[in-house]
Amino acid sequence: MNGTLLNEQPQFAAMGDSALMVTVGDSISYDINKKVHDIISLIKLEDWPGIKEIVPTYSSFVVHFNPIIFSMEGLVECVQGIWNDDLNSENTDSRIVLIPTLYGSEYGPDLEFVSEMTGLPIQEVIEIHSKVDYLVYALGFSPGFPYLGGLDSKIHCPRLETPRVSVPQGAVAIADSQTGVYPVTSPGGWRLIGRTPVKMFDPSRANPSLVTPGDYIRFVPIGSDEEFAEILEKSAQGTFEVEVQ
Amino acid sequence: MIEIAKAGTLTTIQDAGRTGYQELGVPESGALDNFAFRCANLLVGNAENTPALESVLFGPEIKFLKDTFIAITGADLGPVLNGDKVNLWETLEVSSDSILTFSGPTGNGLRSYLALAGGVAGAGTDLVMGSYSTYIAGEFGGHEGRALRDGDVINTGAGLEGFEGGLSLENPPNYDEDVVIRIIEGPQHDRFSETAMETLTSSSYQVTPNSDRMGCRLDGPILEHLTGPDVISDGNAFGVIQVPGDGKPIILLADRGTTGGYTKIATVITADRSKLAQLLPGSSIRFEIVGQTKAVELLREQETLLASFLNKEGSPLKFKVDGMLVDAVDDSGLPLSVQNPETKTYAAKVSHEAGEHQVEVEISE
Repeated sequence: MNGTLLNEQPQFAAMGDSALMVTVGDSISYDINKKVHDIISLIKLEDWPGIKEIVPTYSSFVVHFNPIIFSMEGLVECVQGIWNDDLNSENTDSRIVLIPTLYGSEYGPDLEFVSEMTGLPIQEVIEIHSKVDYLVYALGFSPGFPYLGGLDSKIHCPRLETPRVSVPQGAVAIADSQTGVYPVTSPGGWRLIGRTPVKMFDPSRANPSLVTPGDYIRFVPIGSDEEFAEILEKSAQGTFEVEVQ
Repeated sequence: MIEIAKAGTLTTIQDAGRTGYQELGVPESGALDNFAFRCANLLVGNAENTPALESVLFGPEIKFLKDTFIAITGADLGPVLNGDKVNLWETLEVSSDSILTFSGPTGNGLRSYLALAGGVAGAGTDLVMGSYSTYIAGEFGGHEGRALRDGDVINTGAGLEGFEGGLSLENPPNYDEDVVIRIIEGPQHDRFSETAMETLTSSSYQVTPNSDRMGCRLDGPILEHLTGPDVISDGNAFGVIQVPGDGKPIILLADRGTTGGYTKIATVITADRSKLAQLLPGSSIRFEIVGQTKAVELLREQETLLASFLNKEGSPLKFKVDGMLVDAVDDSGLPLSVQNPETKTYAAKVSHEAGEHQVEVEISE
């Protein structure tokens, strides 16, 4: 554990009578977020009564519970009790979800800008972006929007000064130290460098989101418009299965 | 089936909301006035989390296409059945071709709930992520993911076999009194100036017209931050009072975003959720700090009140076991309704992950 980044002990704050906020650290960092997911995994292994759901964000998480069944004090004690437990390897097998992505051209209209701004050839920007397995810090902003950590600082880019009114579903984008995928068509100010034909979020699926917090995403470049169109069609029919490692 | 002749200001299908999907960025949604919603269902013999209609301000005009039981709870929006005023908070028997209209808000509350025996579900109204609740911004849940429109025809389920109606709630809530909202401090009250909490609890705040299912926006004395309004985006809950840079508090409700980046000075207790749901634009509220013990006690009182319904004659017989609602069943496994309030021992079917089994339950005094 990195003592400079992580709190020695969690900080607890009541959020009303039925929710408890547990703060792990005070910055956006990979180590802190990893600890958030580890603790949540540990809690899920326990069978505490009255827990409704646990919602992770960058450096904290919120436990929603029924205080008639499980007291706030009891919950705090229980979380403290498992804080330093080790996750065994069985529980730390994170999923890596492979997201096919077509970079550049009309699919990633800002890729050229990123190349110019960073002074890197387009091909190298693609290689840098697709070589990392990104930790899903949290999902938010809109249903299924993943906040991903771990973008190489060589391709950090500022947001658009004026956000686009409409960013297409599946747009793969970067902004400052973050990267993400737009799950549905929405307004957005991030730089669009590519697009995936897979449906990241679909309310009608049994598992509506392809990724959950704590998973990793790897963008896998696809070669042609034809391949993109093929996967898009299969996705629409619900017959495309993303590869998970 | 029912026909929505006129949709009114905003009528949506809601149940108790989505649980377990906030980690995917999916808001809870669900009936804002959870108490009134559950109560309406119990009054028509439904399980308490059966999808019902939530209407705001000017209610809909509804034509019933079969005989059924209904109950209207929550705000008094002036319900009129076949031309006659009808009571809230009691079982109403309606015959096919009856027309329900609403004459308009009376100043007592904002959101009305209409439960029908068997609930509203079926073609066009599907379960999405475990809930029938409409989430308009995400275009899913409820009826085709949207508010109801003039001419919509909504399917209704089968009501409880043998249900005879005749239920009512004694001493129903009144929303037009001087509203005091009880809060628990935090989670980030230490990010505000020393006087901020005093300002919040000693001032009167007005509900602004741009309040909606996401949040109740207030106008009143400014709450001063110590070092700015932003925090690293974190989670929130129903009733959280967040304060953006302008210092004006916003109380987050059911359709709130799952994460947010503003400081949260306090959180409204769960037992006062109904009061929040029923605030009319322009009304004034005050805040009062209570502790966790008091908040849980008030919540328990509300739950006890609802549970008392469950064991009235003719209502479906249910028990709470470890906080889980279970159906009582007869020897052949069919749901029982309360026939004799004197009976103290029942067989109940308990479902859990490992399967179902029968248990004996004794009602304590």
